[in-house]
Amino acid sequence: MVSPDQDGVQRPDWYQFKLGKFEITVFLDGVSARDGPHPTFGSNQPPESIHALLRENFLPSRRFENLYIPVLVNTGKQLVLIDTGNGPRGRKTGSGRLVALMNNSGYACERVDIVVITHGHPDHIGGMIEDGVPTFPNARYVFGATEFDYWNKGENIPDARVQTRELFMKIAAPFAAQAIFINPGDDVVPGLRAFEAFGHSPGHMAYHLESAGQQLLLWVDTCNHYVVSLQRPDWHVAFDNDPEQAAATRKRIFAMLHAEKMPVIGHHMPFPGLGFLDKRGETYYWVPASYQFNL
Amino acid sequence: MTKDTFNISRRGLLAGAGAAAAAATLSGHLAAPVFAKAPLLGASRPTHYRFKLGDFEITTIYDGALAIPKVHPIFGKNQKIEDVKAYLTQNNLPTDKMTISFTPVIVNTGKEVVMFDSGYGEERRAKGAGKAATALAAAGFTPDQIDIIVITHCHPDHVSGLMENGKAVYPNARYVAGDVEYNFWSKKDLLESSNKSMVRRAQAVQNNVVPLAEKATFIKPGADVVTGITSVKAFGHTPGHMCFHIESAGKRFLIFADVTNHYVVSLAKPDWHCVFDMDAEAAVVTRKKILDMIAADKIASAGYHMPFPAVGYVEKQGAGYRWTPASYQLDL
Repeated sequence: MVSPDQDGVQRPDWYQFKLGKFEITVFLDGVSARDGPHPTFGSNQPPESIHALLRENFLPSRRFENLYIPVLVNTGKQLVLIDTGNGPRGRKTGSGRLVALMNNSGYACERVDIVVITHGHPDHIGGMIEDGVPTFPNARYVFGATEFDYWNKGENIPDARVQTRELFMKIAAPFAAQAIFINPGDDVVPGLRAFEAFGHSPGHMAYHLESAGQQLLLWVDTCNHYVVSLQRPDWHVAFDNDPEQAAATRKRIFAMLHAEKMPVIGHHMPFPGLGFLDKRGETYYWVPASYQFNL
Repeated sequence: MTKDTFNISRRGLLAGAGAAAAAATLSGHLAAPVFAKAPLLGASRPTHYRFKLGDFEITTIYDGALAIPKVHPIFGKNQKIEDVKAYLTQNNLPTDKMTISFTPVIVNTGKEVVMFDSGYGEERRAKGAGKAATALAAAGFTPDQIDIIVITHCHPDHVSGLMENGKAVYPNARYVAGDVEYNFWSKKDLLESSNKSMVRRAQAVQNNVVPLAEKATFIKPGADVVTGITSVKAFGHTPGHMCFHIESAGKRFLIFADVTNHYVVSLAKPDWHCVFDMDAEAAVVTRKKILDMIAADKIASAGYHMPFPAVGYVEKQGAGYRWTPASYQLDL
């Protein structure tokens, strides 16, 4: 009998599928287990309400996992990366894996044509710089104009985001001279359009993809816990800059996705972050994609 | 920043007319854009998932999937085709095609490596299944490390991966199968059946299981394979089909094999017949009994044909059930 050594949790960290003529690859930049979800999620609710909801949904009430899923879209003409993960600053805690995963996938960083920054939070901008130089040396950059202005001006930055602002000025703002600033409704390339999703941050944007009649929304950080914020969109989330605006954005986007039966990718949904919304009564539920994109 | 914001057209910001304006803004340490036209690489996906259950480690292994150009009457044979299609549409699933995937499970108890089922082997490799050995290697296992192979039932997608070119794929393994199941399938007269698919299945058993019988133990429901792994009666899909209950350090898990074979239809509508079930009515009774137990005990489970990584929970939903894939519960 061979000695059967055990070596711990191993999980999938990339998934690639076709949407019309586009090829979409999602990467697991990393995960972090932490205490909660309360009070990060449901910060305006008593803990018992959150614990009960979690139990109903087969989830523990004292620990949860956050994860980070940057998305690469190959339109056949351009390679567009949406967000950059945690980068070097995440490596001591096991994230910042995007670059290594991309290299394994056959998409070298040099081949990225366009980097889209959805908003200025560290887990989205952290991978823009590696060893002091741009991680994606041949890329152009796209920022939401409202979002870039907010962090660049630095007014009304809450105490909890002072470090985020410092990081933004250090690693994202220097790209301004090589960047383009867009507004909701603008196209990055044909088939990739900015979609207003303000609230999580002042200029946070989702992105709508369409190719050969197939659609998909990257809702990015519109909803950040696949049970709590789906089933209880009104509950406040400590990560959201304006909790009421973020709740309104969630409900608007949920209603659109459900009505259109449109698939969605979320930056913090369970890997590979791809799913649909179901509605039972007045409540929305996350339904992970299964074989829909493999046929 | 506002003064630097481009006044851009709605379409084609960085392509077509917009590209010149965008390129003009690039300078400094950034090289000129190359528009790399990266080649499309084709769909691809992960092939294993591993987590802890008490002191055990459980790995699910992706053997592959087959594309099937219909859903009804494979599922919902005793229902109207329109009703099956409507239910699929409601659940964001196509009505005229599906994939069926195959997911063997490996339980490492710390003392033995126990593998449940073996995939489709050579028989369907050209069509996209039978890749368990490749996934096993990616998961860090070599074939000689497998100590015990448990056969939940004798259908070809479970047993045809045991042998390759007339040789055992797992050279050090001993085998465990249900006695009712083996006694049914090993009968040579099945090869004379007028039912062609019965002959194909019986031949797969003659080729891949019968030659290994001298290294096999034949068990009944309620028997332990090793400490912490117990067979559970689940007859119906085949005459002696069994599930396996796993327990370590107070944590429980059920390998339910083929109790339910479509992750939406066969859970939500447990009464709908499935053509893969040899005794459709007995399979319905078993389905409800096993799914009731998983739902009531709120334990995690693995189903051979659930979407990869095929690990999840079962909830009651009206008169039926709902498959809820595991997210981070088993990773914490």
